[in-house]
Amino acid sequence: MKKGSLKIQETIMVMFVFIVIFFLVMIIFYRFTINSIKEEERNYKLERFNLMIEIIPNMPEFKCSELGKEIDCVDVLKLLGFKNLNNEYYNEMFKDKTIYFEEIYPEENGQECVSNYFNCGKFIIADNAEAGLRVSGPVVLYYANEDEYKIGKVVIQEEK
Amino acid sequence: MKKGQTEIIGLVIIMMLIVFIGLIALKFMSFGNNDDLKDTSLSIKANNLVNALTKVDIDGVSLKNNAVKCCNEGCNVNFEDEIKNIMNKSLEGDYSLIISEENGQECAKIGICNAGISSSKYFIRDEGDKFSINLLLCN
Repeated sequence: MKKGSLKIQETIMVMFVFIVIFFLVMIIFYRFTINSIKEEERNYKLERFNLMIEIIPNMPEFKCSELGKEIDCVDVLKLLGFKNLNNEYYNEMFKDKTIYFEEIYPEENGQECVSNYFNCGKFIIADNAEAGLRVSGPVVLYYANEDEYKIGKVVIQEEK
Repeated sequence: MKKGQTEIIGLVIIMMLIVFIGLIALKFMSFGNNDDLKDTSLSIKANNLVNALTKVDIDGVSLKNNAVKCCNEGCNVNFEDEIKNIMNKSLEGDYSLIISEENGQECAKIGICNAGISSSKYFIRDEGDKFSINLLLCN
């Protein structure tokens, strides 16, 4: 073999090794990037889910209001009204969620409220998730007929 | 192996090391925001619970009157028990409900959390005296 062709072969070998190493690094970088994007997506979904303890009680469908002015509480009469509303839009919105409001103070009563709020303390808005992510947070429940506030909590579950 | 090739391989190894170190640094930089998520959630809970406490009579007395009593005569035992009861039912972690005077001096502290996420201060005025209530939630 001539000296020139030997040099070319050596250069090709070096280039080959270099390219292999370069691709290995690229693959590792790609995997890191994909994993970090997936992690970001998981964090985003978790954040969005956790923020539902703020979003759900502030929906106009549930939030107290007086002459169009919003007040920081959840209107129990609206909860009862919503419960009996079978709307396709809300069914789709809460299709993979279980959402309920529960009275915890002054009394705790796990009995579900269906058509009125006497002798009960649990208002189920949606019941479509058996297990999965779960978050709960305190809310103020307003009983308009008695003009009375009680402490409650909203519990939200979502299928994974 | 010739000197030039050895140098090239050395250069490649150095480049790879730099890239690896960069990747590891990137990984640590991008996963550092999990605490923010928890803090936001705790902040929402703390503010909502203070809002709830201000609207409800505890042991038949408003939070304002209970807080004034805590600063002037000491807290009622029933009030403390009811607060603990409410906190235990609505929160998972440790908490502290702090009632302070205008100068920042604590009148009462219910709970064991010393450092955590705080709610906004809720101010109370009583015949010229000013008190504040805030809730501290630990992770």
